Amino acid sequence: MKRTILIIGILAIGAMFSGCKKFLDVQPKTSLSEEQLFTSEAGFQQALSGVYGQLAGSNLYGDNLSMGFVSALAQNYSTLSTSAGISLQQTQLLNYASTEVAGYTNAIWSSSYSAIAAANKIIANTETNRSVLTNNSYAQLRGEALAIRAFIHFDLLRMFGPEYTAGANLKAIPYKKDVNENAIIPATTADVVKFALADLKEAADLLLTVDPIVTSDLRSRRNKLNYYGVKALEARIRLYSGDKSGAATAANVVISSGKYAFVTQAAAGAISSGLVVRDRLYFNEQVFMIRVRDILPTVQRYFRFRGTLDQTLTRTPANFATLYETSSGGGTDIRFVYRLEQDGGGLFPSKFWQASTATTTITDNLLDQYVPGIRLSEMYYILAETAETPATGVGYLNTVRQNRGLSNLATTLTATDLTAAITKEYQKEFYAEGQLFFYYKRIKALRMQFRNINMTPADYKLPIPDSELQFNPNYGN
Amino acid sequence: MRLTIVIIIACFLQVSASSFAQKVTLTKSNASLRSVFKELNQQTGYNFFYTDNLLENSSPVTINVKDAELSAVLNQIFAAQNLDFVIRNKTVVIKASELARQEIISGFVGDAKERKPIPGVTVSIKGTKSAVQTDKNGKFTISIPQGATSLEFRFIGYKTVDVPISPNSNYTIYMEENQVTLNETVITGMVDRKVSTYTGAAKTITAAELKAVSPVNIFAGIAALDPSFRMIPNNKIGGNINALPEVTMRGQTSYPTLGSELVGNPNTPLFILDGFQVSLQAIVDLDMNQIASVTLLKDASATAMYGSRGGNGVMVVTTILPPRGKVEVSITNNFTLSSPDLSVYHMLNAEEKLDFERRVGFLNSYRGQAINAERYKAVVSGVNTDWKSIPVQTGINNRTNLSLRGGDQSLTFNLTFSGNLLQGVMKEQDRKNYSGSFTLSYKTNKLTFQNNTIATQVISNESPYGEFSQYLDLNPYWKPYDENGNINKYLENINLGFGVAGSVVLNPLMDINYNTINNRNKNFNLRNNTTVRYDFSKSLWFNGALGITKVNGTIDNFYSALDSRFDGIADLSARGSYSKDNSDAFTMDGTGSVNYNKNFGKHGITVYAGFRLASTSLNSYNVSTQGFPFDRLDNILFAAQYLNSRPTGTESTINNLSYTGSANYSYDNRYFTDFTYTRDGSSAYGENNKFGNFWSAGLGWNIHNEQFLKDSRTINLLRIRGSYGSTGTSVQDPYAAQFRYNLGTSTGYFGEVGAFPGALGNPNLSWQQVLKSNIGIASSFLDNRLTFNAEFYNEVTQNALTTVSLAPSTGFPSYTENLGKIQNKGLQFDLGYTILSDPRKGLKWNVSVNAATNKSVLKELSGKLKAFNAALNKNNADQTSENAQFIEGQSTTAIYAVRSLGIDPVTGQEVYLKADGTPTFVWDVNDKTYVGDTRPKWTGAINSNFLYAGFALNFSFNYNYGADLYNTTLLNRVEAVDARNNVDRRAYDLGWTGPGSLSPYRRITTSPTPTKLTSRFVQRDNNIQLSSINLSYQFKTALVKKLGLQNLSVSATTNNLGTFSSIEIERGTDNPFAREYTFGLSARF
Repeated sequence: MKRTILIIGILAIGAMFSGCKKFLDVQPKTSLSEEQLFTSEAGFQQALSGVYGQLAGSNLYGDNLSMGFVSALAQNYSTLSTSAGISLQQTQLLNYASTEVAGYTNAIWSSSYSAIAAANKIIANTETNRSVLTNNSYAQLRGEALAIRAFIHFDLLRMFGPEYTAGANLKAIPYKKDVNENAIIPATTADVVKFALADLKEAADLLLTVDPIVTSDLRSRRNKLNYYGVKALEARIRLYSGDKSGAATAANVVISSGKYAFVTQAAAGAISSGLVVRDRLYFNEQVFMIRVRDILPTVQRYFRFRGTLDQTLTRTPANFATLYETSSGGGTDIRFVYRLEQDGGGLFPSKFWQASTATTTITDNLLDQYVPGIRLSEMYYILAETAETPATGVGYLNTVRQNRGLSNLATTLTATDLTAAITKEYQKEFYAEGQLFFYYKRIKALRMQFRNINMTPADYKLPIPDSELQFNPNYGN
Repeated sequence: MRLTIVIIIACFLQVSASSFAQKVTLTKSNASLRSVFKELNQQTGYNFFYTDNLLENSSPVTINVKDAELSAVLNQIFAAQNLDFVIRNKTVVIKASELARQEIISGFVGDAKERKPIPGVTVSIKGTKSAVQTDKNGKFTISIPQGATSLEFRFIGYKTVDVPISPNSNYTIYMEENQVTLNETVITGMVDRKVSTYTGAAKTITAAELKAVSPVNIFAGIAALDPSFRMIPNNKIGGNINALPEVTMRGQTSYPTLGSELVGNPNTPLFILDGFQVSLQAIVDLDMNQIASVTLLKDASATAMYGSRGGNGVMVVTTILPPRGKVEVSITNNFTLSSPDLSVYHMLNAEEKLDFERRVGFLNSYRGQAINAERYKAVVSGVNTDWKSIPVQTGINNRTNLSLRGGDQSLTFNLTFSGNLLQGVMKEQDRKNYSGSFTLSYKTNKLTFQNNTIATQVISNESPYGEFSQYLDLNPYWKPYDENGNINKYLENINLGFGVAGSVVLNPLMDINYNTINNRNKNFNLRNNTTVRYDFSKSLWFNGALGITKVNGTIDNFYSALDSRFDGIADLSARGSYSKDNSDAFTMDGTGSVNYNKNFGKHGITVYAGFRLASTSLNSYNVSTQGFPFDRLDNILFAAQYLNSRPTGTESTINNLSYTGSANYSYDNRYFTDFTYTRDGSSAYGENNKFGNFWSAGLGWNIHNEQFLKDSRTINLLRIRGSYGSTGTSVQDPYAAQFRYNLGTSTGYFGEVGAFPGALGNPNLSWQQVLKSNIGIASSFLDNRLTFNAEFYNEVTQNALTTVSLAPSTGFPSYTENLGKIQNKGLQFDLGYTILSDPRKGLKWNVSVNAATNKSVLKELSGKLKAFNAALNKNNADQTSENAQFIEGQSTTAIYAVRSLGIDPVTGQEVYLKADGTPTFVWDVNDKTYVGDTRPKWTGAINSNFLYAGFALNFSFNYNYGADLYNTTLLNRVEAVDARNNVDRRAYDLGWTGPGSLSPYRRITTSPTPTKLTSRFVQRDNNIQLSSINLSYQFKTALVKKLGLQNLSVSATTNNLGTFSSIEIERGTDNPFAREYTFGLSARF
């Protein structure tokens, strides 16, 4: 009897010891742990979709980094009323000390880095949990995550870093490659470019063999950072850092792929069944675009009539006439003819006017709910800018102009005139899309269109958010 | 007669001498004696010899025995008969019993020390109800029925004596005084320890002590008896019966909660009820009549066995166990009146208020004069409403406890029902608590099994009247009711026309009219505790216990569509709201232990080894709806729509696993030492820190047992002990340590499910380690008349949990980390003296005073807390009320304000002191400095306990000395008043009135500027509270017996009768404090 009890006791205690580790491993029911998520390919896919979802949020490309904040910086909209529900007034004035701008920069900074952290988790797990992935999915998931990391860092650099030529060796932004609580030393502008290009190199190598867009032109891949998106981004970054030939090479990969065609006049101006059919986004030109599911309220708020005109984001008809040079042949520009619409007595940029199309399923190639990431036209602009001679450059530019319903520019243009022509194209093409401000910054433009004050280098560098400066001890000089 | 006795004794001797081999198994119900004899004859072979007429008057037999000795069976059968028996040569001879069989015993009872008689001692025959009392000479006479084995002598203040009844006994009994009753063991909740050789700082309080101080509020009673236990006063909730008190033991080991990193109150001690961890709420709802004892465990030696749970101290509560071999019914009723303490509110009356308004300057306009005229009319017509009395009531509370307990030597039970119906001092605030419990205990000589099931249902409602303080604001010249007693919709509705703004004031009582459910809380708690003990030998035993608790709670809130909060909302489907909160908690707690306890000569050893497995899960969700067309339809199903598109809620599970070993060694009852080691694991900790190690070591010395003091009559007890060790507290979010991914529609992309990181988990997250050192002294002098106990402690929380702000470039705003250091240093002592003691007369008068001081200092702060300070000052450039700040080296409860020199008599402006000491008129947030501490320097109680002949009179005063308080009454009702509202009497003089006027207050004007945070309103709050007076009477046994009772006592108690304070402040803003008058009746059958 006594012995039996003793044995039972010992067995019981032994059983407890062996099971204790598991007992203390409690998983909540309302969320998933990292370990649980990355045990299957589906989990990796979900994590990646989560990052795209974050990019599509209004803090990033769903608003601030496309039609909202950065477009306001680029003077795409007239001065706004203080009473308006849209608070971009101080942004438009480039008043970077204002709490309004600080609010935007804070949101952009922290949302960007949380997306980077999420991407970094995927990158790290593709190695640690390599065994659950097939070779193809490993290459695709890792490639995309690396590309996203480069994409976001580069946009942060364009906002918060110094202009490249003057600030290549100045501290710019932290280039985060791992996930932990430690704030790292900010990389210099040149280093950020270097890191981003390295990420893109690996991404391109991985994606080239597995990305279905390469072989089968899968349309839905345009919503992801696909192989051509990676090359296009590389072209953009190389141009930013002054590597013209590299930029041209990368841009040529995109153009020569033949996957992307310019919008037809018919599609851009289609009116047969109203707003639904008209392709305002030039869908086929999107090398990479971001699907923003809940874009409609933002568009309604910004670009539709709401009681009074000063509560919306637009410019006067005269400004639009200036922008599209209607007095000198621009009146036929499809971007002018079909992308400015009347609503409630005002003229609105209708690039994002996208009627909801209730009948279509989500995987259809809808014309709505998209924000452009990288366009085909930008590749032509890059080729034009990096061309050996102005004449070659004009040729590339004319390709775009023809497709926009404009006459050809003379091939005798000087280099300066070509640059001016490219600037005008950027202004027209990227209206309310968020690329224009960064273009101005890259070419160190002294004036932005519709702003009568000279730009200083400080105007082109948004202040690093206070919270980063306060809690990242490495920012001190 | 003498002969008879001899014969009987002889018979007995014979019976007991012959040991039968025969075992009898017999089950009979109302059987005739004859049939029983027949049966016995068959089983044993014994013959029964009797005559028929002898059995004529015998009573039927009911018996149920198994494998019993024949003699025992016969004794049992004959106990109820007028017969007797003798056994000779396997023959049982039945004979008539003789009338003179009853023996009369007389004797004398005296005091062992003084050898003087003790009158009134209860002398009872064990196992029966017959009892007598000694006369004034200590003499008694009692008749003993056959079968009685021993006499019991019982008297309050003396040790109960059992004397076996035997022939030729000398019944002269000397009773010894009972010096220490329950305090001989320390109940740690895991293992009981002898107090004489225990190094831990622990305080045991008996139920009687507790009830003498506070019969209705357990925490108030403990706070009076042990000053280290503190109820943090909360001026906002006042005497709200539904609000949970905030209690601490010794000090604050954690940082205040700024975010979600800590769940619940991080400084609450651990509560152990009958061996199982329970919530603070469970203790609040516990019926005090069920409590047997409360033990407070404080230092490392006492709490290290609780590992990561013991850092804030442990309160161990045990409940009454059913007595063996007795069946009794007891009934206790407490009737309490709780009346609002309105003595602290001094508002102006109607006439004064009108005069005040005139002098403030409201009449300097046409509008003001017109409105004043209306008000004047009201005052003249006699309106003088005492608004503060409108939302309050005298609560009628009744608590009844009925219990039936008893059983035999092996099987005992306890069945208890109790109902506690409480009414708050705010109208319609109530709390109904019903509970039932059943305890079954089975004991054989080696195995003890006990099961305890408790079901508790609590239903509570908050007052629909809302905050009490809003009624203080209302002007006395307004009338709440019209002539017919109906509620006026408007208190004032003056229309002046001509484009001049009138005055429209809605009556807050209007909403009371509508059907409202204000925080109706229904809570059902089912608890089942099972314990098994196996005694391997006298010194070795095993314990196993399993506790299961299920709590289900709902909170309902309903507001009618007519309620004023929906004024201005036209949409019918948005008027009226109902929200329902549903929570489910499930706890499983299992322990197993081995105990070894043995003395080898002078060496005494106690060893305990145990493990614990526990799992706690909580699920809750909340649904909010709106649109209730008709206010009687107060069911959530009538809602028109949801208020929010989705329900909210939480889910959490925490699993714990711990191993504990503890050993005590004592040598010659002089030197003793304790060691404890606990390895504690929790699922809430980070994966790199799943287990924590906690330990303690203690040493003690019983100086009074040394040779040189052994026979001293001056020093009866002198014990010093010290301990050092580590314990922990852990109350963080159960999943804070994990890296989590959220999945939802908002994280998706392009129709795909998306997962996005929620928060940065900290894999190193662990408990807060509290290093405790303690030195204690226990002593008593002068024949135990004077006692003195003191404890000095130093507790350092090493790695306090706190939220750390991260650079956003990490991708996360913050995370939880073990960082920061808090020190608690303190001293507590109690001194008791027995002024009168004459136990023979039942006279005893004890007085005691206790005191405690504690200093909580923030030693190290995290960046987040520093940033919190900076942000607080940056974002509130004009601070008007005190706000928490955390500064290294300062107290956790410090008050920070700009120092003030008072009001300049010339300008009427306040003169501040800048940080550098120069005076200025300009208030600057950067000049804020330490100006006081809300924690009293000394706090404690003075108790007096007087007993005489069954009467007990108990006084208890609580005192607080050296606390500072930001006097919000001065601020809000005396100086920075909105003169349109009613004000404190002290505001009547308007403060500073003009150049040359000396006043501590600024001028009151029609358009006041807010008073900035100033040291002017920091006042020293020294107070004494008459926390309780209790008078009780225990009825004399003789009288009680006549009523068929065993015990009867009545008591009357008053709590919080008065407070004497060095400052005048409104206590209880949302809810007034209550004074309680309790009448108690307790009877045992």
